[in-house]
Amino acid sequence: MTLPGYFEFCCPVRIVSGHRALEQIPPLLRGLAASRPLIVTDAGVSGAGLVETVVAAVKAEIDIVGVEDDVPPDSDLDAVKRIAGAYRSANADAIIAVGGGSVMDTAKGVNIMVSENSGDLMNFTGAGALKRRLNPLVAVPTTAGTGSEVTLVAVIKNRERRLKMLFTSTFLLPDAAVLDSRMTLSLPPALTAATAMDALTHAVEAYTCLQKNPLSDAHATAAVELIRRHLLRVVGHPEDREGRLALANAATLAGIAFSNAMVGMVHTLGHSVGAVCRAPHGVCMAVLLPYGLEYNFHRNAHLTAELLLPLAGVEPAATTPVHLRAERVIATIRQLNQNLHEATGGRHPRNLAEIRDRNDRPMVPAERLADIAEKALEDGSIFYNPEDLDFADFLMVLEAAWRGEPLDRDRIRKG
Amino acid sequence: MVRDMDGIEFFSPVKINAGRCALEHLPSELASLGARRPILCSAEGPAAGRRLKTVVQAFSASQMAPAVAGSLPLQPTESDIDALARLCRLRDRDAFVAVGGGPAAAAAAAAAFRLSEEKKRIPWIYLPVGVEDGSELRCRQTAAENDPGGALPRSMPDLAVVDPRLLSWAGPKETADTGLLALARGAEAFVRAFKNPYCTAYAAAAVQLAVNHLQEALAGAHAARGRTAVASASVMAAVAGQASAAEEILCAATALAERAEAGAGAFAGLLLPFFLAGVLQQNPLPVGALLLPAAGQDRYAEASIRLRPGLAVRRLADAYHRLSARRPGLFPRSLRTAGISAAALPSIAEAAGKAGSGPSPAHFTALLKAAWENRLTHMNQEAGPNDPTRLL
Repeated sequence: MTLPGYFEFCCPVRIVSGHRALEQIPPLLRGLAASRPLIVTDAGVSGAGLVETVVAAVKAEIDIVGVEDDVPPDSDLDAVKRIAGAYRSANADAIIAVGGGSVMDTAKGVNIMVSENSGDLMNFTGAGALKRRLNPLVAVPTTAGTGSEVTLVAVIKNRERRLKMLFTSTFLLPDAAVLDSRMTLSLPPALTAATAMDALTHAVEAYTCLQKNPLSDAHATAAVELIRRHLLRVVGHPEDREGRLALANAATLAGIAFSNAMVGMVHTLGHSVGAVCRAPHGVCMAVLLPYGLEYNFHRNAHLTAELLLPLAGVEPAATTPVHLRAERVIATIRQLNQNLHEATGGRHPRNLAEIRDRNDRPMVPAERLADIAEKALEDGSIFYNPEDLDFADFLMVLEAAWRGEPLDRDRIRKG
Repeated sequence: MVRDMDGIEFFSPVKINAGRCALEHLPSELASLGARRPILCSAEGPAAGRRLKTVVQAFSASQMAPAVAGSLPLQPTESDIDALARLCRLRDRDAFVAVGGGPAAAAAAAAAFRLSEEKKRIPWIYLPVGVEDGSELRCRQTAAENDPGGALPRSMPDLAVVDPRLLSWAGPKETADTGLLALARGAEAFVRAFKNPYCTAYAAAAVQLAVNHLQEALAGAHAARGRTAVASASVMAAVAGQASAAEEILCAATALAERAEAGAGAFAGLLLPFFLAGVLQQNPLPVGALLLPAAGQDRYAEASIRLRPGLAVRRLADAYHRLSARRPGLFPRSLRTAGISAAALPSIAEAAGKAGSGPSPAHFTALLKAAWENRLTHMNQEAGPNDPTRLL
């Protein structure tokens, strides 16, 4: 374990995990002196019947004052303002956010507006603009991937001004994250695979990038081990409740790890592929993760090697010589993508060319790779990557990831 | 091993900042907690003045001018807490910064809690000085039982700041005591909360840091780094211990230290293998898993499942006995050589039972008796010289 010269670690979110964890929401809210929660969610979650499950679990003990289920796929200012208005009209005193990253971000934005009694969210953008605790917020994730339930950021689109507003503050952290197996039981296999690979990428980048520390390491390795033990089984047996709960916890552990240690070039490129081609974040992470480890190999192969035990288990770790372990980690991740590809009937992609939309059209055309590389130059997450990348480096990685071929190590810049 | 995660809960409000120049982050951390006028609390003691000066200097580049309450008695009473709260009110202060564990932390936690009851919440920050007993993060106030929203950790610190400059006055004995308590409490929390991955993450990090850096912390070119690691391990073990109610070794070791020359850390290090041997007989799985943070990946992966528990116990016993071999006066080899008589065990167990909220005196008696009789050796004799499951 490397002890950095200086580190910070923080996660003051209460974690409650179980097959009936939703039933703990009323006492959680009472402990926070709240009794009139508003549910914030999206149409997909609502349509899947998950809001009904939440309401059924809590209604005997607490009144839900409203359900706002129109959060858009990308959280935006209009939705935040609309839901803040509903919160005030209903005289709510807490939020239960049920959903994925967009719902969590929207709920955080609403909480800023109603807690600060402000009509202008722009006053609170950036880091450290919030100075006091916000109203109670309970996060109920419905995908086991983003880790938004334990992160202190929110990204909200301002369509009018065509910009993304970033909010960062420890006061944005939810008061509690409630992980319940019922919330992810209906997640389709391909989505289960993609979200879990998102969590795996959070954990692996947290462990191998520059801001790691002993506590982020411990959370990251715990997440990797849970994903190794449960992901393929859950994709093959979606009704596996223990596995679902384990993956939900893996995503939360990985979220804690990366919100303290940050992430690197895999996220830089993933954000850019998403921005340029609207490709889903999880599958971008799955495809790009081995390339991030390959690119940084000369910098931190020793750290990558340490992931073999949690990622592959005791037998491979015991039988692989130290100098081959990092290579084996990369091969194991590629094999995991292959296994998920087969287990999902080809829906989980192994390379960028295989990422397809609902109509089976390719989402990442080769001719857009240069645009993606250009976009990557603007992304802040590269700051924490062990090795630098310029436009040509990004493009080289993207081209290899598009074809699904390993990187040419001789072309990687070194220092 | 597959761990079912049904019915687990974890909460730690304590942010941890550790390393070089950590003190210089105090003004911005206080500001982020909504505080601008802190009061520094410190107990009496030979190095207290110099430590306070170091902390005050860290504020020099900021607009904050901390007040100082620098002479808290070693055993603060209710009236000392009242006086501290009164001082805070009189001088319009909005946060406590406890320089050191023990009395400073206890007084700051209690005064912060008292004032928070009166008006808005008052944060407090804990600065370890390398002589901690692991009780600094103990939650002293809880609300209704069986109510997950009701446990109010108001008296837990908002932030723990580990800066090597504050640790440099701790001697080798104090540093080792702190490290051994962190090791024992981390290991106990690891096996107690085995199915809770959040708690075991803190516990595993504490064990790993303490095992790997304890010797380094005592002397030599990297002592500052080692002391930072040990003090960080102490905070992490305290978080894990608080979350898992791991108090058995701490209570027993504290009760033993009141009867003998050696410190609570020495007794914690001495008792740890016997505690683990007791757990091992009930459930070897968590003890075996402890081998990973205690001995590293290679040792863990090379060992069979059957051998791991014994190797983990051996590794942690070795960590103590290496210290004992160097300084037998400070780190006794056994309870007998520490001057503890068999006749004293029941009363020590009684005291340990009163100190905690967990095990009964009978349970403590069993642990102390196993250590006094050096039962690991007996188990080994039964196992035979070539049995790979030998503990020591």
